[in-house]
Amino acid sequence: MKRRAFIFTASVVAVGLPVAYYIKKSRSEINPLTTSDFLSRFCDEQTIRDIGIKYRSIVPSENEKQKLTALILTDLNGEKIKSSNRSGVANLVAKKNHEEFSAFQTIILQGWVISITEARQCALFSLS
Amino acid sequence: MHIDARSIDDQSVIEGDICIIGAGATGLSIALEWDNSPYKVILLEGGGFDYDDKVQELYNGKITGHPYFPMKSSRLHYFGGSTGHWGGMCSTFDEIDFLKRDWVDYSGWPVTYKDIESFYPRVHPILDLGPYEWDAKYWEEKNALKRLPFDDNVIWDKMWQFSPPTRFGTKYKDAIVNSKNIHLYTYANVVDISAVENVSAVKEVIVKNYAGKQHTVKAKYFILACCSIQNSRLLLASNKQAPAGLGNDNDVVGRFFMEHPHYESGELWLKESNPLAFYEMNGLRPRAELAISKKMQEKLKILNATISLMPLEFTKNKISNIKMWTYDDPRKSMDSTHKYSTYDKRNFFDRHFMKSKLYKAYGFITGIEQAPNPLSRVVLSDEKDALGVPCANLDWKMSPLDKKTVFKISEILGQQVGAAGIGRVRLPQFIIDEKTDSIPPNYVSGSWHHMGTTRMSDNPKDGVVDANCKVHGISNLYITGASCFPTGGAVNPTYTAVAVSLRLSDYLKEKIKIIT
Repeated sequence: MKRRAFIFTASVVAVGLPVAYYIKKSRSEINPLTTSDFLSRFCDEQTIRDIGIKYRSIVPSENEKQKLTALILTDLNGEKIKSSNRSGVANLVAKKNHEEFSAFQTIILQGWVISITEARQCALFSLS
Repeated sequence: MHIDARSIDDQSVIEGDICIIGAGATGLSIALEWDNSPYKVILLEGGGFDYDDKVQELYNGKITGHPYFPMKSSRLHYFGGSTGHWGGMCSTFDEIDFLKRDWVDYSGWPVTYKDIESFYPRVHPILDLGPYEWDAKYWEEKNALKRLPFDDNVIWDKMWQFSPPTRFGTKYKDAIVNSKNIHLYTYANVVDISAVENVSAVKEVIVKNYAGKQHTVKAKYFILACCSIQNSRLLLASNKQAPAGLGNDNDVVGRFFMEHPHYESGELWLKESNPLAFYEMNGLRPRAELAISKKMQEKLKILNATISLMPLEFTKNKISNIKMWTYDDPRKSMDSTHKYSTYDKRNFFDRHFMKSKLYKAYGFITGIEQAPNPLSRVVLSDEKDALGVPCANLDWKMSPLDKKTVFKISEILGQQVGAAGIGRVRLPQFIIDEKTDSIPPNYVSGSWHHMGTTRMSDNPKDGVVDANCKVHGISNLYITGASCFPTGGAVNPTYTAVAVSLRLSDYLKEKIKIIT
């Protein structure tokens, strides 16, 4: 193996870049309720599941699909997020995630600093 | 003028107006301020112009607290002092560093940021720094580099400038040796400070060397400029008239030893690859670190701190400073550090990776202001050095607030990264572990920054020197350097230590004028 190629390969291995969940799926396949656009770029499926399991153990009152779905689809003003298509929902959930980070509404799970909605997305994913 | 104290008659009496003990960054900065003045300055240096292992051995001591660099090699004992191996990183303290903060015990300087800031511009030519410009926007435009899109009210870009680094021993040797009124004595190790009968003033200091010579130095004013460990050691060891040591009536000398603990405290995963050149540590141009705002420090009740970003490939493979710097001989430790440090790997990195845009992942290294802790201290050990002075024993201790600060700034960075929509942050287990309020020693590294052992205070019960760096209760003894810092800020101390020294120099000039 050429030195340059070796270094490239070694660095990827050393950094431990996980096989991101995101890159294993096409965009149209992704359910915005169970997949954080950001987190799925950096975490593999098992990590996302582990984050979700951890969240459900910390917040047992949300350990239910319907409840998590409702909470994910409620914006910061308490209004229901409505959209006619999957991509519209994805955009609105992404916006909510962004707003939560700005409002310091985050949680640390499996080391990741994520929004509460992202945690709920992972929790819902772990129930699927 | 230069005199080798080994070559003059034994029991010589040397007299001058001002006696500066220590020819490192602070001592030399003051001495040069007095060049061509009508005053005779005696500058005492324990070593010579070059490294001498026997002289360096006089700095040996014990470590009994948190793991630390070997006492012998963490400072340099020859003309130019530790500037012989410093890295040259400079930045200003922040306004909040000087304030009394109700959540930081023992915080608050008896001087304000403005009192010190006015001396910062004068530090730049001394340390060969660029313009007196610390605004990130200025450097962003000048270097056409992009900053991360964070809320300045939460995380802001704190600028660093790099001294070449200036080796004081090289740069200022001729100026000192050729000066008519500065009398540099090399191989003149101060072993005792004698006071007048009621211990209200210093009468003289005694110097010794390996040639078996002992001399007496008398002056109107004495300035201790040996940095934190040695300043406190000398005061504590000068205990013939004051049993607890000079200036130590309130048992503060040696206490509050502070460092800038560093931690590999997280990973930044970016959505798009970004060289983050504005934050890149290349030693060639000013760079930024991510600092926590005053507002957030107040809100979260944490210490000051900054985060340095480096490619994750680096931080994953980085060996901590304490693991690299293990030899008693500072030259060996320096070689070891160069061998393993990111600085030396930088060229390798630049060649192979930087242009590949591979990097979406960065590690961050957090450096924090250490909470002042009276139990973190320098004391005298039972052993003595070859000249008969008790060795120093460093008992470095941390506080729960240190861990809280590392955790909070890392979490806040995670929140800002999310809010900016550029990626996510992952924190290591030792940061988020709620079962303990301390960080395991193997995750903490020092920075060779020694501060706080003769802290500044208005009240003698709270410190060793007053706002003008005069030792409480002793009319003609002054101390300069980072040992006078009541709190250490989050940035390297040399820049501010030199500013404090220039301030002391100006103060003494006024005082000596009035008296004469």
